[in-house]
Amino acid sequence: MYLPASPPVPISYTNQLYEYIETLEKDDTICVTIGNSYAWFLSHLPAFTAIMHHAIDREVNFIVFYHFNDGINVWQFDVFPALSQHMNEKGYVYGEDYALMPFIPGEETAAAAFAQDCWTIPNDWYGTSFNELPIMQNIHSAEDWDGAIVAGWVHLWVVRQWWAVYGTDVVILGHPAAIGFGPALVDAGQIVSFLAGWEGGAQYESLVDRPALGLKGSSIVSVLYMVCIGLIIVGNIAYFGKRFGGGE
Amino acid sequence: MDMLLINFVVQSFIFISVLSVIWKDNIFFRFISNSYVGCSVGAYTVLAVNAVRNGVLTPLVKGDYTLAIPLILGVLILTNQLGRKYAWISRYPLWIVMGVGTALAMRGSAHAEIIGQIKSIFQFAKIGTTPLGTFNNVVQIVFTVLTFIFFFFYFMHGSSVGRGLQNVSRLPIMLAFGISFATGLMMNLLFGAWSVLWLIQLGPGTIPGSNITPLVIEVIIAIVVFGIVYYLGRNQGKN
Repeated sequence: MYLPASPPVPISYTNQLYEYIETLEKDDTICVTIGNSYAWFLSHLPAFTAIMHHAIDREVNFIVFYHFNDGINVWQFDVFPALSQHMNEKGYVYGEDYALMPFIPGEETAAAAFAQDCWTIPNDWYGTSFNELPIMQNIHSAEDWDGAIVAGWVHLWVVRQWWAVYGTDVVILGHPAAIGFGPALVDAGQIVSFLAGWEGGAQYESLVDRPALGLKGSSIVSVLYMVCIGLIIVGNIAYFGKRFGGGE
Repeated sequence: MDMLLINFVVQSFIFISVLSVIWKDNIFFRFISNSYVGCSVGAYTVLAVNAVRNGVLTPLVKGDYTLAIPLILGVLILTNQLGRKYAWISRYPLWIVMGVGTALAMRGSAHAEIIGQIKSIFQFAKIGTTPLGTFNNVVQIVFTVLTFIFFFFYFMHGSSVGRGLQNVSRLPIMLAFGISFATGLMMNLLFGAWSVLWLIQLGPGTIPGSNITPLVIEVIIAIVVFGIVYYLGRNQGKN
């Protein structure tokens, strides 16, 4: 059951994102960015996995970059289990079709350094030299990426360091609390599109026909909205009742 | 004992212990919150050591000697633990980090945040295209101007005109904060509701080799946890 109740974000942004992924071709390489720590990433997980499924369908290569030092945990325990079967079906091979980048400390500075020189730390997360990874032979800077999918609250960093400097096509998956940033950035032409929270994930899951967490969770979100609205109404009735009933 | 059963019992115990703080602060909640902090510190230490080993030490040993510079700067930060006499040394790496960070942030800011955003907001050409587009653009322009007024004309807040402007211009700011807070809160509530539903929905046979419904285990754990909290609270009251 899908009962969307959320702040109104036009579904056109989701369609725009779908169309962008459709423009990616086999063996294009995108930079997939985990921009939240483990606990917060859950708010992007449905949207992130749905988009990654779409990218894997298109047989797009990807490198995984993290803005926080537990990004590798997010990949290993949250994202990879959800994608591994699909990746196996499509014959993805580590080092050839995807690779995990090393963690570079420094947040925005690290994003800038990685975009300028992807070989700034020339080995992957496991310590394997980039010289031994075929995928990295043609990836030296952000100019070599065909786009970036960024999941997390790091939109300012990537817009400033990737889009403004290299013109990288950026897709942002934001927490619902940051929902206001999305349309402003898309309208300014600074990002291709964005998805917010589980609602965004649910929309994308519908588009790629892979129902998962987002669609299941949307019903819960809708019920929670109703509960909160109900509590606000009850609170207001109690307040005004007390006020006009002669209470303090 | 089956690992799944142990996992389930531990997970249920943690979940119920965390929720028990809604009633009152108690030993179970403190145990779980302290364990969480301890586990996080342990996990982050391992990640940090791995990052330094794979990202710096391995390439350094292989001949990339430029990486000695960040390594030395990182070690210098630790000098603030050697007492006042040497603590000043730790400021140098921090100055480098702050200086480089600020300069890099400024590099893209003017283009991305000032020029780009102003151009995007004041799109008068969009007004009149569609009813929704017109509404959105008018709201964007009016709210942006009002927010500017609130912050730029703060020196007028003492006058009656200033107070009026302040009250009106506060509206979009509070709306933005309210929406952000509400949507953020909803996401967190979702995680809580999701966990409860997940625990409740598991039926008999979920735990292999056992016909016990997980809900029964949760209820037993809840009774034990709340019973002990009640008992300890009552004894504390007597003393």
